[in-house]
Amino acid sequence: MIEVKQVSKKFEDIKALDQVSVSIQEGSVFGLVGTNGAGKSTLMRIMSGVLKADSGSVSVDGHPVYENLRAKELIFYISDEAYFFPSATPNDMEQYYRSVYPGFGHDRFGKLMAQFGLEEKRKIKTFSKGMKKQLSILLGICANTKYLFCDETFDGLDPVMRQAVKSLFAQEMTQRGLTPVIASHNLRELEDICDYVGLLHRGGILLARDLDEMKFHIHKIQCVFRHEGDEEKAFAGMEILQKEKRGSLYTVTARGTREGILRQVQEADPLFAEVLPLSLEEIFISETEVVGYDIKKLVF
Amino acid sequence: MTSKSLFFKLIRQDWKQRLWCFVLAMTVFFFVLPVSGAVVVSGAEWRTAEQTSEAIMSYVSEGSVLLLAVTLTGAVICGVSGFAFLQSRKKVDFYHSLPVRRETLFAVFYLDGVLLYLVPYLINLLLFLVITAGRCQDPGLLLHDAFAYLGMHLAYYLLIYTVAVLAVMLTGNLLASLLGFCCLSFYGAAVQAVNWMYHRYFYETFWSDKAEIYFHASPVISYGFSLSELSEALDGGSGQLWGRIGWVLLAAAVILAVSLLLYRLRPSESAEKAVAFPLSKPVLYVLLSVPSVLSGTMFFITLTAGYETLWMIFGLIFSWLIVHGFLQIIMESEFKAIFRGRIHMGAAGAVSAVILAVFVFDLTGYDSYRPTEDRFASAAVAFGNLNENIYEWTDVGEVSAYENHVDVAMKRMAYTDYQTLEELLDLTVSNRAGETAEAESFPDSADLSMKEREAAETAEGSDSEGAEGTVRTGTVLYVKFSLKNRKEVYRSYWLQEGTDLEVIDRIFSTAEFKEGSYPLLTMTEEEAQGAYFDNGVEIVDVGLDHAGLARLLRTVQKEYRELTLYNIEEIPYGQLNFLKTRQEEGMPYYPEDDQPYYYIYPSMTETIALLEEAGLEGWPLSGLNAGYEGVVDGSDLYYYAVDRSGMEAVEQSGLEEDYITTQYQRVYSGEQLRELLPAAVPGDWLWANDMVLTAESWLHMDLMIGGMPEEEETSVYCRFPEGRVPDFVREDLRYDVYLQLVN
Repeated sequence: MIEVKQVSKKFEDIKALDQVSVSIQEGSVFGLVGTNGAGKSTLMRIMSGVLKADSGSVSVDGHPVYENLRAKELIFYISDEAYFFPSATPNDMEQYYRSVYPGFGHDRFGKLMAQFGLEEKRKIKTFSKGMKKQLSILLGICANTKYLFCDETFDGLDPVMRQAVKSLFAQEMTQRGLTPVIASHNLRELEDICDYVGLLHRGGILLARDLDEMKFHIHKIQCVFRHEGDEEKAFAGMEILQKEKRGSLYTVTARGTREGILRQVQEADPLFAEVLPLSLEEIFISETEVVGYDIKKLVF
Repeated sequence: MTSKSLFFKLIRQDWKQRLWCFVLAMTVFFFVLPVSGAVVVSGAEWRTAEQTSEAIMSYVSEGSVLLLAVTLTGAVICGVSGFAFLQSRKKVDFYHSLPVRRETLFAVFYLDGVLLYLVPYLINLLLFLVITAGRCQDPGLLLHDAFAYLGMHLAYYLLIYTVAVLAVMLTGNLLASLLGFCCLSFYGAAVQAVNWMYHRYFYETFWSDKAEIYFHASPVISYGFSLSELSEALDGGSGQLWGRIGWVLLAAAVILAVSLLLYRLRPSESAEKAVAFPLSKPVLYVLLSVPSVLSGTMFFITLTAGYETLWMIFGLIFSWLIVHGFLQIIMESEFKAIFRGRIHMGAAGAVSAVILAVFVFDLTGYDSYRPTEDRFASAAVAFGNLNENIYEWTDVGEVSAYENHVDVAMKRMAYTDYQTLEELLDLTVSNRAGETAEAESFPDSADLSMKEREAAETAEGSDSEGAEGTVRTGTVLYVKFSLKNRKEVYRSYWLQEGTDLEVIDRIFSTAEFKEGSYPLLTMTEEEAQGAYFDNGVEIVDVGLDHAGLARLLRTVQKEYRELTLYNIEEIPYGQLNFLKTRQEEGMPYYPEDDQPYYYIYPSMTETIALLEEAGLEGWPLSGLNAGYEGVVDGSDLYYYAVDRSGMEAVEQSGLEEDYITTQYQRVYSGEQLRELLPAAVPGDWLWANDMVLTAESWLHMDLMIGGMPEEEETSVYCRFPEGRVPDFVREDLRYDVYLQLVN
């Protein structure tokens, strides 16, 4: 588990992180979401031991991460701007990582390179941006570390490749308990891969929730009532996050279980009532509007 | 994986990345060593074997200048490039996210930087030796010297390379790293130089020769000096160099430790910033700013001869602003930063102004320094224009170092009469008002503060005939105060023309002064191996046996101890040179290289008697006048007149410009020459005691021996001491007209 407690970081006069606390469980995919300048990369760099926090603590499986080999051996960090040696080939990079990560899977690397259609002996500087990102991910996976930090790694991937990588992650998670931590400014990208999401804004965590739990406890229902006033009975006592009326059609986002919300609305004998699936965006919008943020401006 | 195996794996990986560096080093060393060696050897067809051997050995030492350049450049390149990853955020993220300790990374990059120099050097040195050893007469010596130079270059490479690494640790981009390296390399010497400049300009009593700048504070300058001393050291010279190499290695080790510590503390976010440690910025700013502002201020002060105070204030403010702007732009990497940083700008300005004030107003009392009697142990006293003929060679291993008369006195003298010394110091004057005559001193007027020299240059020159019993030419007085706490304080003062000689003579006449000034007085009879006598026309061996030589030495020593300063005002009878080593047969030998000539004065009657007993005659050569002619030339009179009175006045007076004319030249022989000679002095004898015996500047005489000059050795160049030109000569050369013009 990665524990971040009350971490703050300042760069001269700019507060990049302010008392950030988050826990990342093993065996789950953690998504770190935020706009540009929110502090995602800073937090990732602190968690991977590149930067030292001004205050607070970061531990990986109980080991403080900064300048601690025992913690760093558990982590592979893919920076938003990955570095490769000048004129190096994937083979050269693999050799370097092999000397540093004792568990590096040489054979696996060869197979994955072939699978993804990347040439091992071609100069990396001739790769496209997307190919470089793929290479970084493959190197990270083959390093066989427990945690894999990806900072805006998915941004340069095409949809097919993104799907392939997601499958790869899933496979690694199942087979050896890999815990990816993915930073992105794109919620849609993380939706179908993350189990746990943290929203970072202006150096602070706005929310950090289990995605399924968020989805389980927030639902959107559309309904049409027979008589005026029926909606009051239907929605009485319900924790409503958002309510919209267009003509006779009510669209309500409320906190609660699906069955509970539906049952309560059914008791008002509506003409029509249906629970709709919520996207991650909509969940976030609802949750953050409650605390006063217009998430649309933040994330989209 | 063990840390050791990881270490070597990382080394191997780093070498792959820095292959370009290795190839570059191999190429450069290849040209400097084996190729150049082959060039030296290939000329063997036109040389003897001995010459070829000498050429090879010379290349090992002289070719080291090339190796110095290679080493210096290589150290900077390897130091900056090896740790250049710290200047890129991408690279820092890469390296610092790896499960590798910073210490390991540091060790890998540092060691690689050393190997990238050493391996190509060694390989190419071995090739050089293979090519040249066969042609060398002493291959063992070649091997010895080649590896000695390797050791020297490697020691300084380690130092300069580590300084470059330190510069990278303190900075975050390439420009700042290179500037940082320059600062670290030269800061110590530069600060000393600024301090020296200020002392020299503002303090009249500053003795610049004794305030040496310790150039070894700069690793680069030290490298140059040490390299030039290596050849001598290999010949068995002073062991000082080897000690210095030890210090160089120690310094490299200390700087290495500091660099490692800084690397451990260095925040990764420093990449791409000029200064890696924000807290160090104000400190660095002030440290860099103050000497720079003071240098700039001094530049403006010395720009012109007048309005010194105004230029000083202008220079201070202007330099302060410019330096601030420059430093801010470098440190903040932004032009608009020149409008920020007012606090440390103010601090630097205040410090600079205070330091300037210390010098301007002599707040430390430098010029008024005199030790109290209870702290005074002894002093060494020397006069710039007295005893300039005295010197000594001091052995430094198998070579000798030259010491002039001031050095000799400072080394040997322990004058203890505090009261008389105080009286002497009370005679010295300030030159601030520019009242003194043009300074002529030895070593030279540079020993005066620059203000003194400027004042002297603007003052009216003196063409006076100084009175006997007074200082004839303004003279620098050098004093070393030796205190009871073993501290030595050096000062120089100014004795102006016309100062009475009485106090000076009291000091001169003491045994302490004489034995400190004249090494001859402590020469033993056993040491005296021979003697030469110079009568002004020729130098001859006195031709005495050992007993006669001993007697002559004792007599000279006795009479020298009895000399007064007033005796020095006499025209010498001749010069004696006692030798400690005999001339080897067949070898060229210059007697004066061994020991100095000592003047023999007319008052030294016993010495003169011994010389005459040996068949020698001194100046003015009474027995040699027949057939001699004296060609007196006063043509400089014309130019002095023009200089003082202007061309128009000179033309009106009737003085004309004409070298070859009867107007300014006269030839004397017979009785007139006999009358003239005692007033003349061989010109070579008049330079050493300007303080009491100066020459008339406007004329000289060529004493022709045996007729008209055809070769230089048939004439003796003579001068006339002030006030001793016979009247008939003055009349003949129209000196009266000149006097009318200038008075």
